[in-house]
Amino acid sequence: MTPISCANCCHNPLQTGPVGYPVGHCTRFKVTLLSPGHTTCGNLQRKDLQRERAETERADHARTFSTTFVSDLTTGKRSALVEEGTHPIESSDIVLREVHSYGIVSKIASLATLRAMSGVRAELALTSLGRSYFANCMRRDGRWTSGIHLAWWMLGRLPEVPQIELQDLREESTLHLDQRVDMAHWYVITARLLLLLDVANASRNQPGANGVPRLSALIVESFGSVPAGQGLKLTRFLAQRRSKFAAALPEKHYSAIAMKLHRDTAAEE
Amino acid sequence: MAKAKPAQVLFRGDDAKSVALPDPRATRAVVSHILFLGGEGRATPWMSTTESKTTATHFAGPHGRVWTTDVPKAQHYGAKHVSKTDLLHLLKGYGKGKAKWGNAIEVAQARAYVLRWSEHLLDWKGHAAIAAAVAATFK
Repeated sequence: MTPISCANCCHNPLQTGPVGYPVGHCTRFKVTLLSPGHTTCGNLQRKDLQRERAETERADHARTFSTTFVSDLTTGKRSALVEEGTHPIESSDIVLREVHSYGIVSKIASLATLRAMSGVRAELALTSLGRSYFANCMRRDGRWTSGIHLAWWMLGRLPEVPQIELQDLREESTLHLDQRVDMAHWYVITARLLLLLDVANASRNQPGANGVPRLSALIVESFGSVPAGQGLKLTRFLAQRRSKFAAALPEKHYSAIAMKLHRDTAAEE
Repeated sequence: MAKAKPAQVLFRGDDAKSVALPDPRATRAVVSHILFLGGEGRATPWMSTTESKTTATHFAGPHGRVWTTDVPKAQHYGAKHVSKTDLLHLLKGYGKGKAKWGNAIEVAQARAYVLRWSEHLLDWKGHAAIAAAVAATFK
């Protein structure tokens, strides 16, 4: 039942699919998830689905599981597979330290810090928490532009091949190592695309969005054209379409939106 | 004489006491089943199994156990088998045949799960005596 477990929840930024850390961390309840594939809660925001679908599934899920504590996936009771406070592994790793302090200064500041870090673990934390941040903004005030920086950051990364290290592969598998690595690539690239897609979908029919909604069709085309699990092929496909992606959100348009957001924030203060 | 190919063994991680029963009357699509749409307790005529004991052990979790069967046995008791190879072939683009689905991203995610978990499906659609058949199928 992994799709409905903490391992597949944006509030836990330490895993995506078969890639990431062996333990999880819930940024809502501020607890370490000792076995994230076996726990869940009614706040589940699935990583494998687009935001709109994930919202529907979250409502269904909250009818079965509590929204106030982490539950055991099979019994629904409060789980013993969580640990309050900092897990020993968390103090020795800069990504984990940032995840653990997520939002203490501000959420967007944490996301910017994760963006500046290298490695797929930082990237997975960025995409998971970025999607959770954007979904939260959409629930609160419905402004698609709250995701504009995240979308811009993802656009810049689309043609990059993720640098997977052996220790990033967290699951035992019957697949050959090269297949596992390619699968890991696919999951990292998919995480970028789904964050970009969340923002592009929300920009539909919105004033000033210009070409941003066109990104949705480009992303769907990418998934429809390259079979899942083939990460390097997906990267090549995206690299070939780089100019189309760039034309949907040119730097000039991004800068204009970012400037307007900055002015609006300054006026509110 | 050529040696007969051994039957494909299938594992399932589930409750320690019994295997969860599918609903032969349900009409859930393949992609929806694999993605676990509808959440815990959703009605589905499909039953997920895997050729990997490691995967089944993970799904069994700390309170469950791994159940075992093989393809001829499952077919004997009335299930139709959709192999991992078939699923990987069907789950491309917007899905083909029985895996047709209106969302290419969800088809892709379902395919990724099949690959990761070495998943095979058993189709119990229309089966008249499901409890007895499932109990006899898995040991």
